[in-house]
Amino acid sequence: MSRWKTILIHGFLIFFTAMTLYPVLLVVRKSVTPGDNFERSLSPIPSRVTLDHYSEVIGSRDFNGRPLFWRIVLNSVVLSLATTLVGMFLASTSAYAFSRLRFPGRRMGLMMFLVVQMFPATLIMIPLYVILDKLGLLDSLVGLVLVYSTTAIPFCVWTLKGYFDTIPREIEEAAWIDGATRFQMFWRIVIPLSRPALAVTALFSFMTAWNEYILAETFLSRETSYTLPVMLQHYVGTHSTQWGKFAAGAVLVSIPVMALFYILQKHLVSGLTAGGVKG
Amino acid sequence: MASVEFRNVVKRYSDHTVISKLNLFIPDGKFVVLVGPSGCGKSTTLRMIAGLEDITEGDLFIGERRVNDVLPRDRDIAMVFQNYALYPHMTVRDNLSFGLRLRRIPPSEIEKRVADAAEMLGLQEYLDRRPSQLSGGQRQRVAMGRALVRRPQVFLFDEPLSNLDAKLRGEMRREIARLHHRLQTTMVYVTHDQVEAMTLADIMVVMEKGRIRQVGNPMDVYSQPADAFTAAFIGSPTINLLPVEVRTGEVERITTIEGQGFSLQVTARFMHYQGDGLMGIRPGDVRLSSDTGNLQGRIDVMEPLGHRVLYTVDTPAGSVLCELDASEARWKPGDAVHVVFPMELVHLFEADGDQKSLLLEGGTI
Ligand SMILES: Nc1ncnc2c1ncn2[C@@H]1O[C@H](COP(=O)(O)OP(=O)(O)OP(=O)(O)O)[C@@H](O)[C@H]1O
Ligand SMILES: [Mg+2]
Repeated sequence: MSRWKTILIHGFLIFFTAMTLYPVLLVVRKSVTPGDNFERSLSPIPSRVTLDHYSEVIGSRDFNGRPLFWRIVLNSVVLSLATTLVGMFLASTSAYAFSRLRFPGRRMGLMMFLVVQMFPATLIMIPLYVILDKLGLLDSLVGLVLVYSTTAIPFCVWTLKGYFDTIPREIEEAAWIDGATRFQMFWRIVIPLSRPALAVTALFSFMTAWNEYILAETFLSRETSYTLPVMLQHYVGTHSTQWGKFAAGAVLVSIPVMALFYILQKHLVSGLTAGGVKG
Repeated sequence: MASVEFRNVVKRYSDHTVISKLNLFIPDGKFVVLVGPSGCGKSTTLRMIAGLEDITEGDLFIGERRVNDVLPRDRDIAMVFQNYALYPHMTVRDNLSFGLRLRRIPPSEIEKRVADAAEMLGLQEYLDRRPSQLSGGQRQRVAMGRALVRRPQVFLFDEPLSNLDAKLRGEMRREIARLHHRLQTTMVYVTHDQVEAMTLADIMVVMEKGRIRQVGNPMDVYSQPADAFTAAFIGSPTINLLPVEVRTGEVERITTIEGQGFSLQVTARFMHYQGDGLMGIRPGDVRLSSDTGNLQGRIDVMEPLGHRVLYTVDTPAGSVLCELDASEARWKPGDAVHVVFPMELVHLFEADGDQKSLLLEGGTI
């Protein structure tokens, strides 16, 4: 009985893991297969292997002859890190206020965050474009950092507030009596205790910036200010589609995100507050 | 060290009054226990001293200073919470020293104080552990240590032992008593455990529904409860309260207590009072006899407690609890007995309102 159950559960899990991984494997296959058309075969094993697509992507240059790929990687990294930092700072401080302070407009503010989440980003694309244009921030990473970090904030605030709410108030009260200021309570007690939630929201902010395409494509026009998703999309041109480079680029783009997940996974494990108060 | 004083303190949450007109003076160096049933406002009172709750009306003084608007960190108090509220991400050592580091005490002094506290509480081996790696009793000690190292003017305890098992609770209770004896610092201690209240308090404050019922030395509160509530709350097993009619003769100064199936005459240690009353007598003060007594009854339940035996006696006046020495306990359930109420041990309360005691101030037979 229990043995059959185990087999069933594992069969189920393996099936869905395969379902998820299979398309990725096909992309990996394409990235190492010569030629630019996407073979219809379903075998994940390539018939011939080449790293040409990779070297083409990595070796690409702008019209001044400077390395383009690394420039774009740098753009994406700076953009994503800056988005994460700005977003985390704004989100954690406001989530703390929403969790611990009672002020007029608190419920309203939380509701607004939810409502804002319901509009797709494309809907606010035009107004954002106008605003960035007026601010002279089109075609600049600063503009995108502002846009990304603010669009990520609602999710981050809700997640962090939910987590902050689970930290017993008495721990902060004890710190307060011990001599802490409000900021010290936040910085030395709440933040260290919120590592799992901070990891989740940081990852979310990072990936928002790392993967976003539509706004970046709209706001960035110079090749040298592109981000990785914009670069990828440009391989899929109107006239010809360079599937090989696209696949190789896609694999390269996903490596840092996977690395990040790997590094952060141990922080994602909850249960850090265990032991502070009687459970 | 400092005294604490409440002057007409009121605490309200929107329109819901939790503490009404609290007046209380806690002398410097005393161990004061706030005791009362759940929800009576003990924690609120303590948290007002700590500064964790605003004071709606009235004044609160710590020493000479009015502290209504002083932040908790500037009140020079330390508090031990019911759920310990340790910093989970810090070692025991860091938990103890956190407050000192925030206050920029020199490191050598911090080290000394932490070592002292650790020694006093037997925490030396655990200094490098996290709270999650400690037992409940050890966490409790860390919470006490964290208060101790601060050397505050006033210690506040909110039911610090209620999460411990009975044996550990006894040990820690004695440890706290020892601590107070040694430090002679003002301590305010909240509990709903009357054993803790009786054993620890220099001054016991009995609260109910946001009001103080009685303040006094625990033995006085026990032997001369100011009202029926206090009589019933303090003392275990619970005092017998029987409805009676009270008549006091003008001339003879004799009070007659008339209950269902019994009548007592006591000399005037009670106020002149006519009307309905409640007669209180502690189970340990009730005697049983096979031939004569004040009230006839039948043994309903017998509960041996070791060297004591607790009888529940069915009588026309209701169930009467009686606690006897095991050597005197010769009755079995179903036996007919006479219940004896020793006159000088009887309490008498008004039946209505606050059920105030009718005992004259300092009165005896
Ligand atoms: N934030 C609040 N808002 C409204 N009412 C509150 C609030 N905090 C406490 N109260 C009320 O105040 C009253 C006193 O609460 P308090 O915590 O002081 O009781 P307590 O005597 O400590 O009880 P316990 O023994 O259960 O800890 C309770 O009736 C409670 O419902
Ligand atoms: Mg309480």
